Amino acid sequence: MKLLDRKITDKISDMVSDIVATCSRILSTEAKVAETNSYDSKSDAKNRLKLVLMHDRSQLTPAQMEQMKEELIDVISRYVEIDRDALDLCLEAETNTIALVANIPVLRTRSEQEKLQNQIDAAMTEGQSQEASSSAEPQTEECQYVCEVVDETIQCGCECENEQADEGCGCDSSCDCGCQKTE
Amino acid sequence: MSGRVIVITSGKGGVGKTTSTANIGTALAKHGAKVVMLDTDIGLRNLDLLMGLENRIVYTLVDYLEGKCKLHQALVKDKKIPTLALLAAAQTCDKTAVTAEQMKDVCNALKEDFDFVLVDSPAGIEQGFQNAIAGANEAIIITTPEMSAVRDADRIIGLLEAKEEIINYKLVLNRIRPKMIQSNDMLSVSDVTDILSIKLLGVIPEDENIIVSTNKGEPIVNMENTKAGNAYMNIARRILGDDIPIPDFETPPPTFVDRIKNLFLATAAKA
Repeated sequence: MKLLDRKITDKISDMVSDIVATCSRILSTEAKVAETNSYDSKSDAKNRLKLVLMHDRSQLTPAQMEQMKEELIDVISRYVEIDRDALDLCLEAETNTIALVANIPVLRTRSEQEKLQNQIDAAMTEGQSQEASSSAEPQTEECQYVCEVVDETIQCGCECENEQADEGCGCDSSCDCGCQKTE
Repeated sequence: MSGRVIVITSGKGGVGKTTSTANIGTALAKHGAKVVMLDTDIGLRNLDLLMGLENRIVYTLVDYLEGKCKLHQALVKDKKIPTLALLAAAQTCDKTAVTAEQMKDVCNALKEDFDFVLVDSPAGIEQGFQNAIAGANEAIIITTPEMSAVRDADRIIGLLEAKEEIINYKLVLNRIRPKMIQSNDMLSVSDVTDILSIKLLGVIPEDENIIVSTNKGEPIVNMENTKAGNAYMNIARRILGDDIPIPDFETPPPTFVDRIKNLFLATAAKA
């Protein structure tokens, strides 16, 4: 009789643990379903794909994007003062075209005088860079004339005539034929 | 006779190019067309395995190009369908054994005798791919609803757009799982076609029978009543010009209760 009792209690305890396990399983799957519903992995994939395809299609390298951004900032900040850190430049897809969308927070507009000054500054820096390039190699202006080989001697179309290819004609501007023009 | 040369390509590997070639080819032949399938994946051929013809190959594409055999000698006839043939790729050479110009000539020669020349392209966008598209007038792009496969398909579409000879290209979306689409955990058919902005030729649901069919060396269209087999048969009919609607996998199928409701509503309407 006692043995039987034991069997029954064992069975009951087994049953209880089974019920608990089933309940907890159902609860956990419900929680999981709720989780997957709140987190929609498809739209994540779609958005990421759209973005990556836009960059693929635009054929711009990240470095080029960055450079474009810097140059845009320079131009815009001549006219308005902008928040450089909050600037956001990205590619977006309209139905069949790609749009470059920039979100540029403007802190304040510049006064007329500032605008003028910045324009002058910009012009100055351009001028300086030109000067710098010209001052680096002062005497090596490219000879504008096209050289021709006539009877085994090279002739360029400049005022001088180059009789001997090795020595050059002695004019100042140098060309491929080696002539140098002197005034 | 001048047949249609259709290249089947994907960019990414493992999305089902070869399976699709075998099944679309077989399905077209079952509908009465004369079809030749051309494996251009030189060095990594597999189309013969899926067709169960691996023991019958004597000459390959490369043998023909090297002048070791005539074109008709290199064609392997299908076990069941007499109007279906396979031209296998060489397994021992690499992709540089063939040039785009040669491929063009082979396709032109084949389309004289067949209604359809299906070219199974290798993965990637290098020489092998360029060879595969060289002689084609149409393209079928295979992709799956995975990000990497869709991205690669976009790249392929870009390359195909740049090729003037290809006048028509359509998408086959492979291995979709309707349940995952319904629970918003998989890119849907319309998501993929929107992103790629391309016309859809067909949708193949994920089907375990594909593995069985590959094991047997028997295309799935030869098996009775399978999801993927039916989808491939429909694709073949669309290629032949029939107007067959593509099933919508985005809305869940009607439940038992819905069906009873509909039945009641229908009878009520009649009454």
